Amino acid sequence: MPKDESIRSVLIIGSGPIIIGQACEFDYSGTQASRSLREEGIEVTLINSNPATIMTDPLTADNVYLLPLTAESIEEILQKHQIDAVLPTMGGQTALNLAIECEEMGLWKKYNTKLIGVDIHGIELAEDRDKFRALMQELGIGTSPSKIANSFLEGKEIAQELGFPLVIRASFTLGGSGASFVYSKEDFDQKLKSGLEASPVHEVLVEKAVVGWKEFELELLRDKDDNIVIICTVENFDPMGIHTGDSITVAPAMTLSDTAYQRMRNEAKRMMRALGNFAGGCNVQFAINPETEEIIAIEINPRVSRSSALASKATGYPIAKIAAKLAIGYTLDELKNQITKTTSAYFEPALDYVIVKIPRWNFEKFPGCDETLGLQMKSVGEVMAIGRTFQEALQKACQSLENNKIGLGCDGKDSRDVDEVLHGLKFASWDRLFRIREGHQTRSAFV
Amino acid sequence: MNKIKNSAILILEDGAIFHGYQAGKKGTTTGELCFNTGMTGYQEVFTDPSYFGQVLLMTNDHIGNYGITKAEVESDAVTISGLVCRDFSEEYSRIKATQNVQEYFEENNIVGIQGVDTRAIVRYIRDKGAMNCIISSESDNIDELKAKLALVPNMNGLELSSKVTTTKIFDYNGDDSSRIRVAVLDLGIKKNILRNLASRGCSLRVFPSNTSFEEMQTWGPDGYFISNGPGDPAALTKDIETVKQIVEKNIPLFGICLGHQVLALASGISTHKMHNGHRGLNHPVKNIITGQCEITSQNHGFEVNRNDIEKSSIVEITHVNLNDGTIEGIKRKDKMAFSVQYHPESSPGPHDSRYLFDQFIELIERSRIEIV
Repeated sequence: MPKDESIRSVLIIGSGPIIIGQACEFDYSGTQASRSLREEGIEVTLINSNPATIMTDPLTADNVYLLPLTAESIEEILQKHQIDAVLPTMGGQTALNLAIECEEMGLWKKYNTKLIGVDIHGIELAEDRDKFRALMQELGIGTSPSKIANSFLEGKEIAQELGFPLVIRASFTLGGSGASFVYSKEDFDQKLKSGLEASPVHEVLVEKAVVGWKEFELELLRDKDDNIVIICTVENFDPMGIHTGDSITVAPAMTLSDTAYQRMRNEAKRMMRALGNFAGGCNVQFAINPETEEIIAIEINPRVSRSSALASKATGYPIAKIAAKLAIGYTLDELKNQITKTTSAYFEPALDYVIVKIPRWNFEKFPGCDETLGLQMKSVGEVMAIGRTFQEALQKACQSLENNKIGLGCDGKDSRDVDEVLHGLKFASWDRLFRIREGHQTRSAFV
Repeated sequence: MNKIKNSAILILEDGAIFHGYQAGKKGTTTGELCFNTGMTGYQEVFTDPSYFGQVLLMTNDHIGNYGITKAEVESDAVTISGLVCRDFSEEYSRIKATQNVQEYFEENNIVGIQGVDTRAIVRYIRDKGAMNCIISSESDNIDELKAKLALVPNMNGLELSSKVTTTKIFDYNGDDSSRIRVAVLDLGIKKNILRNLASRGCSLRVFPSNTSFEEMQTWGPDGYFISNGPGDPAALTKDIETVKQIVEKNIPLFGICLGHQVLALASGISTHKMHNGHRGLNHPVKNIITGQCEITSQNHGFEVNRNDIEKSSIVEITHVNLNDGTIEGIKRKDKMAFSVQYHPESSPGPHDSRYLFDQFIELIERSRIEIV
C-alpha cells in the first residue's frame, strides 16, 4: 500500500532542552524523521524550544518554530499553517505528553489535524503504570508486584503489604526522576514524599524491587498492516536496579538463549499490538530472573527512544527514518532496505560484531552530589565502540572514556585495597567496571 | 581464559587456507562449509539433523556464552560435522546450563576452529559459492589434508536422509484414535516439529525414510507430514514416489524444508542447488495469499524452480523471500497439499510462522468433514 495521500503537511514536536536523562538522541530522531518526510514531498513544520539542535536548522524543515513546548505554541502554529498530521513520537516523552495535553484540550480536532505514528490511548496505557500493569495481567505477561499510591498514607500501606526492598517510581516523569530504591523503613517516608512531588499528577508506583535480574531491551518497528520486525536486542551489563541510561549496554544480547529470546520476542509483539493500532517504532524492556528464567515486562515505550538511537547506530538500520515513513502509511515490505538498496525494509539485521555503550558522568562538576548509580539517570553522555568480540568492544569503549585510565586495566593503577574494592562493588558508581576488574584481580584476597 | 590454545587450520576446496585455534575436540573433520547468521540458538543449530554432513560457520561473534542446556536439543546427537567461529567461549552465564561448549563438543566428538576472520570467510564463499572444507587441529601437513579433502563427496546428488532418519517406527504423543492421526515421514526431523504437532492435539507415528505408502496407510492416518532433512532432494526417489501416491489419494499433506522440495518434485517441479543457501533466523518472507510478512528461520542449500511452477497448472506459489525472490512456499491447486521451504517450528528462531501448523490441522479437519 502506498502512502496516505491526504497527508501533505506534518508537524514534528521536538523534545525541548537537553537535560540529564534526555540528551541529543531526540535531535537525531527528529532530524531523520524530518528528512524522511520531506523526501516524500511533505511540508514539515517543526517546533522545539531548544535552538542548539540540528533539527531547528532552517535546512532541516520547511518551517521552524523556536517556541516553548506548550499547547499555546501548538495552537499558534495550527492557526498559521494547515497541518494535516502531527508526529509526536520523535521527541521523547516530552512530545508525547504535549500531544496528550493538546488532545485533551481538543486542539487537534479543532484544527482538523490527526495524530500519526501513535495511538493516544496507547500512550496512556504505556505511561500510566497502573493501566500498564492491568494490561500485562490481561495479556498474561508477568510484571513485578506493585501498587499505585496517590497519597502518603496509601504509599505506606502498600509498603507494608509488599515488604522491602522496594522501588518508588513517579508517574509521567523523564529519565526516571523521582524514582528511588528503598531498602528500609527509615528512608521510606522521605523517598515517598519526593516521589509524589516529582510526579505532575501526584502519583507514584510502589513496586517490589527485582534487584539483580538481567535486563534486556528490544527495539521494534511495526507498520499499519501489523508486520513487525525486531531491529536489535540490547543487553544491560548492569542488572536491574541501575537506570538503562546509566547502564553499560551491549548489542546484540550476549547471554540470552534462543528460548528466552523468543519468549521476549513474542511478548513484545503482543504488547505492541495491545497498545492499539499504530505504526512506528517501539521499545520494550524485560527483566529475566537468572535462576528461574522467569521473564517480566518492565516497560514499553511506543516511540523512538534513547535505545533506538543506539540500535540505529549499532545495526545501520535507520529506525527514525523508517518509523516516519511508516507513520504516513507505508508498509515495511514496500520500503527499501537502506543498506542494500535492493531488498526490503522488512528484515532483521544480523550482526557479526559487538557494540558496547558506556555512559560518561561528570560527577566532578557537581561536588557533593550522590555518586551512586540507581534508578535516576545521572550520566551526561556516552561512548559507543564496535569490535569483533565483546572484549575488543569493551576495551575500545574504555579507551574512549577520556577518564585518564587509558582503557580497562591499562594504567597500572588498579586498587589492591580489599575494602575499597568491596565498597565499589556494593555501591555502583561510574567506576564499577574498573572495580569489577579489580575484584577479579584481587580475588584471592576474598577467599 | 588466557589458556594457550592449540593451533588449527581450515582449508577450502579451492585451496584457500585460514589459520586459527582449536575449538572442541582435537582432530580432523570434513564437510560442506556453510554459514548461519543466527544470533541466538547455537545449541539448537548444532543438533538440527538438516545440517548433517556440513561444517557450520556461525557469523555471530560469541558461541557458548550461555553454555549448554540439555533440554534445548533438536535431536539426540550433534549433527554438524564441524564448527567455524570467531570466539568459542568456555565461560558462560546461565545458571540453568549444565556444561560449557568445549566439554559438550569433546563429549560429542566435534572438531572446530576458532579465532579466524569469519567475515572474510563468509565473503569468500558468498562469492565463490558453497564448497567443501577440512578442519584440522592435529595436523599441519597441508598436502595430506588436501588429499583427504579431495575425497569428500559433493553435496549435489547426495542422499543423506537415510543417515539421520529414525531406524524404527515410533509413536509420539500416544496412539489415540480419538485424536487426529498424523503419519510423519522422517527425513531428518527436528524435535520441535513433533512438539508443535503434538501440542495441537495430534497423535503422531514417525516412519523412517523409504517407508512405502501402503505401510503408512495401514495405520489409517488423517494426514501426512513430510519432514526437513539434509542432502539433495532429487536423490530421494522412493520418498518422492510415496508423496506422489499420498497426494494422488488427496490426503492432507504438509511438508517443511526438504519435505517441501520433495512435494515439489512429486508435483513435477524441479529443484537445484543454490549458490549459497539460506541459513539464519532473519529471513523475511511474504505470504502472498494474506499479504502478511513473517521473519523466518531457514536452513537450506537447495531450492525449487520458479520457472517450473509458473508453467505448472497444478502448483501455485504461496510464499516468497523478500530478499531474493526465491520460492518459500507452494500449494497444490488440485489437492490438499502445501509446503514451506523455511522452518515454522523455528527452534531456534522467531515464532511468526506457527500458524502453518494450525493451517494443517484445519485442512485435516475440513477433509474429515468432507468425508463424513
